[in-house]
Amino acid sequence: MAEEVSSQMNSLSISETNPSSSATISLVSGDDIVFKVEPTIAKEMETVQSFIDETDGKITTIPLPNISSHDLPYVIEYCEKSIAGKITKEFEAEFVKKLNNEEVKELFLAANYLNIKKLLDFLSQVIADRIANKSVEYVRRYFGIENDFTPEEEAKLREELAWTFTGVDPDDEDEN
Amino acid sequence: MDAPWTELPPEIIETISQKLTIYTDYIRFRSVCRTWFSSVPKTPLHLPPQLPWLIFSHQSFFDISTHKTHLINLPLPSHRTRICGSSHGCLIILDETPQIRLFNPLTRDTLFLPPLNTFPNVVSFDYSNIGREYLVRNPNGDLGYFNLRQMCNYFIRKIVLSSSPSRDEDDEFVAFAIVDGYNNLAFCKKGYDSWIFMSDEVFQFWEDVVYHKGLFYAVSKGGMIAVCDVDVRRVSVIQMTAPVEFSGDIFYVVFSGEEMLLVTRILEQEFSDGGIESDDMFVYKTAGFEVFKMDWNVMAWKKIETLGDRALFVGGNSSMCYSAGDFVGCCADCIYFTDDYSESNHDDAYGKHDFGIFRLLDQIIDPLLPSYPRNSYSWFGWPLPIWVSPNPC
Repeated sequence: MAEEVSSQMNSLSISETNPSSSATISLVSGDDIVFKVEPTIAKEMETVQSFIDETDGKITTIPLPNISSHDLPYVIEYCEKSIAGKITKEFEAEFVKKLNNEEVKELFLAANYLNIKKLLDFLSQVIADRIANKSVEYVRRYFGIENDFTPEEEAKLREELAWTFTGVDPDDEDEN
Repeated sequence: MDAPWTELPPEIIETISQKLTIYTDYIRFRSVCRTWFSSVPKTPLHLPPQLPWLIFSHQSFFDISTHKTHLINLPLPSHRTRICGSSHGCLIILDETPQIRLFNPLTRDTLFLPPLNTFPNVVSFDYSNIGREYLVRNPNGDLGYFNLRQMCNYFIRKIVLSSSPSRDEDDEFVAFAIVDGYNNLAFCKKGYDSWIFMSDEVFQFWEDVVYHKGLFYAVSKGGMIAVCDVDVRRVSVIQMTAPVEFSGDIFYVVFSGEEMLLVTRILEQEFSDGGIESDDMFVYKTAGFEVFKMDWNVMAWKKIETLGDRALFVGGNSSMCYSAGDFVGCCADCIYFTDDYSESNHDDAYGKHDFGIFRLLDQIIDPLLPSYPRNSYSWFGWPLPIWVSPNPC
């Protein structure tokens, strides 16, 4: 509940800083919160831009049913920095510090849906860093994936590649 | 948002797998589920060099990152083999035939380099001339006969490769050999059917050679450097302006970024009371190392006291330098060493193992294997243990 309020405030503040609403693009999150952004920011999101292009710019309100109002501000923040040419190692380190595992995964899926190559590439690295030297079981839990190998197949994998399955970090409590 | 991760397109899953830099992480990622197993390529082409394994025998290797010994079954020639190099994941294997075999223990791929009898100083080779199979021209011009075993053990000191032999069909790798039998350096490129000497002159004993950005750099015991460009077959010998009195017995050369390091290994003799064989004998044991870096401005080797974050791997392999922080289980400022070709212990690998971890700043040798005494006896007839950087390509 608190989350929703803060998101609404966020959307309000964005619309306040962009008074010339005719030139802005409205992105509507899956939970119906409207985020007004500069058209240049929409350009970073290939999916949004192609939607605008297809309608010759007549439609400027774009529904993004797959993206929540919790995640969209992060995406917008990253795109704004990207346009300003201010994606630095420091910014990325600060950006990722704020995100738990669940948020990283959701943003990855959002970046994939919106086709934002830079963000997708960056989050791929974040995920890779978070699953490095972890057990297969940990990685399955991380992504919420069921093991669908038969016990025989799994045993064969582990036997052939025994060295890859030992010596990993202890599976600490998942933070999500 | 609950789009299941198994339903993402393969190329999206691949964007994550491409960011994994350790081969074991990559294998575990593929092993998550059937979908990923099929959508993530079996062979990761993007991986940087991996932390090496110590291959003990045909059956086992030690993994530093997991600190465990694992079983592996290597289809190697069963007896009297000598490993004369380990480069880009390939063992370079000699046996008592003229063959020079490249073998990747991970993929099991085998390639052959031009055989021993194609070196320019080998005048003739005849299997039927038993015990005198090779007729070889010595550095002073005289001809002499050598048998299969002598050629396997003494003719080549080390072979290194410029790149992975199987990574790219179009990429031509170069094999470079230190030929002890002629005090020379030789090379062959992929597809050649014989070896070519770098120079028509005979130089001297070269100790080690390393490939760096298109050139091979060989070093001698005096610290002299031979810079070799195989494309134009040119050797530039660099004399040191300020000669250093090196106290080492075996020398290694390795690049760390643009920095060229010379590592000297100091051996001491130790009396051994037999072991598996009853003969008493002297064996060599590593007492320590010294490290020097090349100062290109004044052309001199400068001794250094610490490797910083770096870890070196030396032995019969192409000498390797890693940034320890990039790998789990790898200690900074350490030289990981294993047995090397030297007068006493290359002969049938009869003698004691000599491997460990030398901490440069502290000048201490730690055991490499927790439950394995540093100087225990080798398996009779197996080649010496060697470092190999696992290469899945």
